[in-house]
Amino acid sequence: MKISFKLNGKLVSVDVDPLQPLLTTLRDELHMQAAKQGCGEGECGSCSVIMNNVMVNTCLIPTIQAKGAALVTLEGLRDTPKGKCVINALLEAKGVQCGFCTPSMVLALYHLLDNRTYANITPTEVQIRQALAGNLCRCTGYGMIVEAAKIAANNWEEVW
Amino acid sequence: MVKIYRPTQLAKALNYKALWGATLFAGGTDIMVRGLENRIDNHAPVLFLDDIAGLKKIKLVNSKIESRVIIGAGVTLQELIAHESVPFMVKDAANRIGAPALRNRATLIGNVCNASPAADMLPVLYLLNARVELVSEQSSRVLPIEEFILGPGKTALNVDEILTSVSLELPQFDDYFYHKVGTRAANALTKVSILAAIRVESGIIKDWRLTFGAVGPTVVRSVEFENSLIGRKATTLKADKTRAEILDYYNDQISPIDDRRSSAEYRRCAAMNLLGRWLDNCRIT
Repeated sequence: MKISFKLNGKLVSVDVDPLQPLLTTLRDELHMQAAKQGCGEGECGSCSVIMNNVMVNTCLIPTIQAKGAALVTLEGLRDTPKGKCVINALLEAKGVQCGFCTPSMVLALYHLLDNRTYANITPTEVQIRQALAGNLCRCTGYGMIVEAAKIAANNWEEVW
Repeated sequence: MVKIYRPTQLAKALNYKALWGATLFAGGTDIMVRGLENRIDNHAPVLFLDDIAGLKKIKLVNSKIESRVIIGAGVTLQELIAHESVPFMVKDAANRIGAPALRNRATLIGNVCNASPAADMLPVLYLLNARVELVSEQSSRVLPIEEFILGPGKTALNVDEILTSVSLELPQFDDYFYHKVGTRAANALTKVSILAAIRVESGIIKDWRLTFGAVGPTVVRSVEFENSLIGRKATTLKADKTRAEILDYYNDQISPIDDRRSSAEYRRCAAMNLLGRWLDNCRIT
């Protein structure tokens, strides 16, 4: 079945089984491989992307449900000023080790920071941890990733 | 390849359901985990409900007798949490399910139709005397939640019907208690949960409700016993005799089992300790 949606600002069309998980479509058809399959049950968040401005687990979404939607993956974010700000903050806080969870961590942090009412608000520790609750990291631990959120939030004059 | 249908209007969905008896798919956060190929009839077509704008509404309805909030079958947990008309205790239960990305897709009605003994939204629906609306092409009917949920994974939904909405009472309480026991704060399935609420006027118990989740095939609630407490002096709740009566009664009502998440013994002990905590701490003045 032909299914069209917006991916990182560009209209794309794929011809796939409509029940195929969106993650498989992104990785195998569209070669967007930043999102990864971890648990395949919506727990680990490695496959999460931003769809219609909310975080979703693409392993649980049949491709048909993305019809007409606007998707943002790390590939679309990493060269933008806001994407770079989050990535640099993660590097500065040493919040990256194996990197498996990092693409979705970047998206989760970006989503949290980009949806603040005012750009000069630093989210609280609780808000940051809630925003990251669906993204599991098995090596770095969360302290440095939470720290990265604060570093990125404080760079508000530059990019946000 | 399995046939799919993703209409934008409820009438079309009902027509398709009557013709093909398809598997209903809203948020999909349970169906996808279990696997579409593991459905009872894995050749049945899949009918998507997530593109029907008419099912995405939350509205308040005031009649002469009472006010109720009506929540459509397409409403996700996140939309529930964000809506001004939804009671806080409903939001509190929704907020402790999964994590943000899951709550952005999972629906309230999906949690109801899945009819899991550990369903996190069911205790609050029982407590607020929820009624579900079941619609087919020919007719529609309304059932109280306890008549809709028949057992683990079993509901009263007929093959040609779609559960289109659930309506809830909006009672006033002075104090309430919700505790979900899970392995961790996010992304944990419930081992046992308790939800209780009370309203006291001039020292008299005017309303008292209590439900347990995950300690029986369905949510445990006893309206009859609740009514026997209503009208008593609130201070009796703190007296040893009444306290023992309440603990004994619910200890008989629950029937926890051993499974991969917990043991029957732990569940019973935790449920009774939580009930004791509620009786100790509930505000009666």
